Amino acid sequence: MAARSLAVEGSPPPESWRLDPACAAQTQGLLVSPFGHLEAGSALFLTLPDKAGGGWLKALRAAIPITDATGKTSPCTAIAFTDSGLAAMGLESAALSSFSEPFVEGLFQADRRRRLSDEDSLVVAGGPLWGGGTTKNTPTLAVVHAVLLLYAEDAATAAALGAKAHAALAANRIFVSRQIATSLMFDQAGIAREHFGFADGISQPTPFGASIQTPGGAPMPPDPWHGMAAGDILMGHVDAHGEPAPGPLVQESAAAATLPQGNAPEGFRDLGLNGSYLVIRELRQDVARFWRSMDTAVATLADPAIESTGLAQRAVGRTLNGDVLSPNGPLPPQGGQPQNSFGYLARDPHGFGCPMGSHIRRANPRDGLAPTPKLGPDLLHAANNHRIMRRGRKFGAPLADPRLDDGQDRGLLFMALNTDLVRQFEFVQQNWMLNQTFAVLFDETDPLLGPAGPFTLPATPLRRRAQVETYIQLVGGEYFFLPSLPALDYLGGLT
Amino acid sequence: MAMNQTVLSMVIEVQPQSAALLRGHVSDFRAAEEATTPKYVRLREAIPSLHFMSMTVSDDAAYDPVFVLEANFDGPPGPFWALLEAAIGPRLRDMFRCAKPPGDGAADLFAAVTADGSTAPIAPLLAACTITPAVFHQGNRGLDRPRIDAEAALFLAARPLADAPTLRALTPAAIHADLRASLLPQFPWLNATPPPRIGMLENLGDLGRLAGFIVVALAVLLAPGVVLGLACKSVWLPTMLALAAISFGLHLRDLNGPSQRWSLASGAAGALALLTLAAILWSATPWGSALRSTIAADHPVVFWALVAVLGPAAVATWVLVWLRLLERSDPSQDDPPMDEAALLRIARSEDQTVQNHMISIVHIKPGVLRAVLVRAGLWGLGLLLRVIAHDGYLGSMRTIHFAHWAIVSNGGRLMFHSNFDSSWESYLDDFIEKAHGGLTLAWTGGVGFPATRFLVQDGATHGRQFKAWARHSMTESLFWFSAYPSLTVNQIERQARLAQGLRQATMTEPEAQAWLLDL
Repeated sequence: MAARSLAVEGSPPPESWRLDPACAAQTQGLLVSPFGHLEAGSALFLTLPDKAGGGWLKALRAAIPITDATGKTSPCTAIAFTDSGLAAMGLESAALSSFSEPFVEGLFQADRRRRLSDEDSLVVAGGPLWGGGTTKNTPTLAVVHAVLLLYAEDAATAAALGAKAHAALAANRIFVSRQIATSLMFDQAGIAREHFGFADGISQPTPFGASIQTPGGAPMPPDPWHGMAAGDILMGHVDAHGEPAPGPLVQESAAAATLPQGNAPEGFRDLGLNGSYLVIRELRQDVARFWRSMDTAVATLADPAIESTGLAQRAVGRTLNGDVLSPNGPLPPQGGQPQNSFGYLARDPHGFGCPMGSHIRRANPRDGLAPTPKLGPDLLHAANNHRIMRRGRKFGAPLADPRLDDGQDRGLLFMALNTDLVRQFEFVQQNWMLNQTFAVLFDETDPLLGPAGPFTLPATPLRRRAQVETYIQLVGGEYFFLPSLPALDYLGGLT
Repeated sequence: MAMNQTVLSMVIEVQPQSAALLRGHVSDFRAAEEATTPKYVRLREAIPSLHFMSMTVSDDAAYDPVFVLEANFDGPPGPFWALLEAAIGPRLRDMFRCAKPPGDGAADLFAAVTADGSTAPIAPLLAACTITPAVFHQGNRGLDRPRIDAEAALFLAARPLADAPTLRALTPAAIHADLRASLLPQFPWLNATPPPRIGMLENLGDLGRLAGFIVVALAVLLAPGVVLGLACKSVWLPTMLALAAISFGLHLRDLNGPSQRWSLASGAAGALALLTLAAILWSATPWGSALRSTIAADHPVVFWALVAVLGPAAVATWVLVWLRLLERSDPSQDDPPMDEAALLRIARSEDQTVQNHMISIVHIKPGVLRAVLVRAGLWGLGLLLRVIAHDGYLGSMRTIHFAHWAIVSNGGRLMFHSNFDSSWESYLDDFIEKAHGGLTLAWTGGVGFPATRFLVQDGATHGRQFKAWARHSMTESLFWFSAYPSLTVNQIERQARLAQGLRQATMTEPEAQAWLLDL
């Protein structure tokens, strides 16, 4: 376990980080970068024929190389596979069952859907519309076997890249069952915003570990606020439990000889080393409904101090520009960026600024769940054992009048990397986001992601309770395996 | 008078061929209670003292199945068994008919209860098969079922009142007065003073029992030195004890590092201690009078003080060396076999409400030291929890309503029950991240438990291994009743604080402001 350094409010943000060069050459670029320099892109969800083998992957990579983690390039690409996709490509069944249970079962396994609240009003009508279609899954309209993510500087370049990908896929009878044009939605000030209008992608964990370096090549010190063990995003590296994060194995064979030994036991090769699990969830946002819901709630609250934007900001926990709310007004930006070196316990223990049940406080409670000030560092450390690396992008055009629906599809293509799906993504979703009893709340969930219900705004002398509605729905999603480049070589050789 | 809660399990072996029938009986019971509107209301009302109850039929490759009934309720067992029999007597009788006749004194009771057409009371058999927990923990200590129910109703009634915009113009103390006036007609008990949650006698008893445990533990450590001291009042005795303590202490340090061997210093001290022991034995004989020193006669205080300090040091370091040697070579199970169908059944019953239940049974590691330490560790942990965990917190976690460990199968197996808040994963993560010491102490005696150091270190911090091990030891809870399935431990405390404030006729402004945070 890494030595803990003291977390100080307002300390300078952590340096950027990179993988050591040897590791970087084997790892997909998406693991180290959201490709923030590339505004446009698309996600191609692929459906493979039975016994597809790996030839198509080889051909695709010849036409469109998969980006590694050695440096900034343009355009960029990434590829990941579902359990059913790997099966269709002919990966041996022993290797398939060496993946973690959630990946094998799939995102829409019945008990998992209940645990993650992917049910009822939180899913689009007739949905989920797409998924990996593994045998234990809820059947979906479209079955997805792989996802190809494309990133380019502008829409035109992205379209050209997409056309090239389509050609390479079509030549191998690979069907693009769903295509989503994605973007970062920068505004004129260069702030990436999501459809409700909030700056997003602000807070990310900072990995540390033997393979993580500063840009100068020095070992990356664990960041006190956002430090995450490298193994929590990279299989085979030391994770939050202090052990190498487990990944899939294949049996020793001539074909597997190019795979590293890694952490594989005798007789096996490490298919997982430098790979990760990628969670993808297509979340549809009803922007007009969101803002009208805020209007209605404000009218019911009958508090002249709270107007719709204010309520929306309380629901998120940040201002529209991303500054976290605090009892004495939002924290000022730091170096032109929203401040992110902060906890809740000392400055805002009761949520008078950033409500206990707000979206960002649920997504990462930091030290805010500690019952006493003394336990703050412990709880911060515990919270950081559940972090995910977000790689989301927006889809659909911004809504012109935020209160008038235009019938167009828009939302967030939520993407997150982690190695322990249960301890990381599922934990956040179940125990923080949609937990009805989070932080001594009662009978309420995340005001953005949850079903219609109350949202408590702590205040003196008396809290307010706003009634919020449902305006984000799950369209489809799945757990994917994002392989290392050697693992891609191996998968490309499957027959 | 404060009302104590009782935590216990009833365990009886099952005829293997009848296990399926027994599971059917339990499932039928569950289905019948779930068919009421609202679910479980009949049982809830029939036994107003009941907090949580579970029934399980647990399989094990090395044992015949056992039927386990776990219950957490107000007051002593007698009245509870009577209420349970009144509520579900015929079902219990059918369940017992699937069990093996107990081999001990309960055999007659069992025969009477299970005879064809029997109407013999079941409560005595339940009492006879009851196993007292080795250690238990309770989240909301001193709150009985009626009080939790009443305060929950109060909370639900107070919440909408606090939504009224008119209240916001008032001062906190005025808001308190307003809410109290509005709620008093519906909740007249707000005018009564409730009994203390933990009575003074109970507190003193807990402290006394912990002190007793410490005295017994010290006496055990002292005994060998004292016996030797009485037999031989030689100056050589403290010398030998000191050398032994040094030798074991040094060896202990070696055992924490990579080396397996006795280091030179430790070995030399050990050899000298042995030589001294030989000298003592020799001097104790009539021929060794020359070596016999009179320190005990001349300086009895110095002699006994040395023996009292060095004796326990030598014994304690010796026990730790023994333990550490066992721990270093303990097999821990990396990949326990999982029955996929069973896991799926467990997963299906989980996360239906904000609470969950788990039962786990593991084998206890062999050997006399383990047998002693498992019991002493659980006993001491239980007494300590009674004294330090008054407010329900284990470290920074407060998610357990009722949990207990019990030794079953004649000391062969360790059973764990817990009724906790939130998901199983988060419960285990809480243990791994926030309370691994106590948990490791309680479970380190389990066969296959992750590698532990000195009873409390490491162990559960091997997160992945620990979760897999705990999961594989679980059995599906065939029947599980919670009297308040939507309430967390924290919510029950929040309600209690709210009620406590409303019982007060007046509050100062700062008191009222702090109190309003719970609304």
